Amino acid sequence: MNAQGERVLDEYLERLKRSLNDVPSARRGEIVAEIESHIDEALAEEPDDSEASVRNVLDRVGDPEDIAAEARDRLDIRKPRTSWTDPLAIVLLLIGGFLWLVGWVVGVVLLWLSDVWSPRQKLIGTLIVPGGLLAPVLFGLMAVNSIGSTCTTSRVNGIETSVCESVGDSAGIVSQVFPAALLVLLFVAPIATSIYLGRTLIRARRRGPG
Amino acid sequence: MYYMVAQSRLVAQMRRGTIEYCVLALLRSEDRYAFDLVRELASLDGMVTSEGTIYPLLARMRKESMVATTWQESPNGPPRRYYRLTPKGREALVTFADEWTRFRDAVDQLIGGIA
Repeated sequence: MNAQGERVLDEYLERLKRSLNDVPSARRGEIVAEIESHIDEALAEEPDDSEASVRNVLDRVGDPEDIAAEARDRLDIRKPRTSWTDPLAIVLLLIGGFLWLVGWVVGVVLLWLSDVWSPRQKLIGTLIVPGGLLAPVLFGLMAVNSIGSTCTTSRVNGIETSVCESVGDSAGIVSQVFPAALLVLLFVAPIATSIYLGRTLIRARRRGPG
Repeated sequence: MYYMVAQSRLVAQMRRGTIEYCVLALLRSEDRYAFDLVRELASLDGMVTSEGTIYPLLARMRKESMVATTWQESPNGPPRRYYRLTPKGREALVTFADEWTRFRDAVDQLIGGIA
């Protein structure tokens, strides 16, 4: 096959794999492999291996989207119904906690009502992290209050003396590094979850309304 | 106009529904690899519009154990996946053939001689 023909074929197979991405991977692999060998057999019967021959064979095989639609139909895979509340769910899960936590709760409800995400993804969205970005902010405030110094004030003969002791021994460093790492994790985790849920949503929307 | 659209949709649906049994019938006497199956189906008038759409069907029939597959060496090129009828597939074919004959005869009695 010449380089141009090969490029056309590779592009076609890429498109096919992408179109089939909601088909369970075992079936997808089987369908793609069988179509690949079908194309090989068909090409062997063409007069030459020019780009035109490749295109003729691919025309007969059909459009990847049609094959994917057939696969969804035959294998009972339903296209998810997307809704305007889906992106709202992601936003509320992330920052809805700042609306007196109610926003986050609404986000959870929208998440579970959505048709786009799997139960596993919904569980991840709910548990990582409850309250969204409110969790690290609250945790951060608590940590700031507890770290620092403890002061004792004494009054001797009308003169006020403050003695402050900073807590900074070796055990204190451990107890400061650990909350810091946890704080970073609490910040990053809900953002990562939002990106994860968002990517699934974008893919579902690209496939169009079902 | 609507009537014509509905009619062509009906014909397409009839093909969709029966093609599975055409595959089973083609496998009745011999095992075949997919390319061979598709070529046979395509040679029948209007049975296959785009060749690739048969593969999701084959995948489902395999999943439902209507057909089973084995790899066999090919005289030229890489090994081929051969499809064969399972007892379950044979039973489904016999049942369908019976239903189909009765259905066809009934319709033929009414519209026979028109076309």
